[in-house]
Amino acid sequence: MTNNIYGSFFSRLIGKSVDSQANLEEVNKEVESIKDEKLHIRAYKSSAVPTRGNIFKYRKRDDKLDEKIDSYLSI
Amino acid sequence: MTELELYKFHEETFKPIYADLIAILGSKPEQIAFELEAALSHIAVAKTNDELYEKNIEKAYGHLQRASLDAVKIMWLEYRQRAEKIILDPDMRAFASKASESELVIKYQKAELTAINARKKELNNTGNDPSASIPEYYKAAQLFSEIISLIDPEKVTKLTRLKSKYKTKEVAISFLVGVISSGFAALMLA
Repeated sequence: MTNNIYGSFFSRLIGKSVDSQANLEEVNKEVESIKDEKLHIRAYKSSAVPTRGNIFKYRKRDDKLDEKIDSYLSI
Repeated sequence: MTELELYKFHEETFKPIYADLIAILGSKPEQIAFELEAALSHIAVAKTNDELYEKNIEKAYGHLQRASLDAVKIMWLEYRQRAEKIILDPDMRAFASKASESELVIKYQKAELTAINARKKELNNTGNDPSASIPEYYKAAQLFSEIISLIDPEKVTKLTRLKSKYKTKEVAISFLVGVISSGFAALMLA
């Protein structure tokens, strides 16, 4: 049983409950069937990738995610 | 942190947020994949080395928290960017919305305030509880999504077409005025 505050976008966009998806693979398949294409792994707008657990140089772009959020929020 | 708590977090928090994110984007952000990869690696160590069990379960939990936080931040950013295009365009606000302009602006301010609180909470909990701000970021994404749902896509298309026609006319008129002026100037000089 999932926390009912999460999963609302999936339900609205895909038309099924996340609770009925047994695992991430099933979640992926549902999205793929609606979008009618394979899901690809992409850097989010090429500006937000963390370095955690990764040996490549992604920290800079990850920082940009927070910078972007802060600039939007004027923090 | 117990192993069961880690799995419960995966099922109750990470999985639905991940589902929301890929449904919105139609792709998987690579930072989420990296976090999952790291979490799995720590679980493998925990399950094969008793001495390192607790430490690695904690670490796996940390990566899963971070994956959830990144996912919810990307969701917020995505909807924020989509809503911004409408809110910052006075014509869109006035002519493409199902709600009044003031209602849109109030909703936008509420969404911004929620996101500010989320970001402050995130900063206050850095290194302590990475998932503390997840519910607020999620709420902020929902609020921006509500703003987008108030926009009529047909009106946006019509308005964009109208603006494009107007701009083309403007350019054509400016060009004609330029040609006539230079012709007139040439005549005067002759």
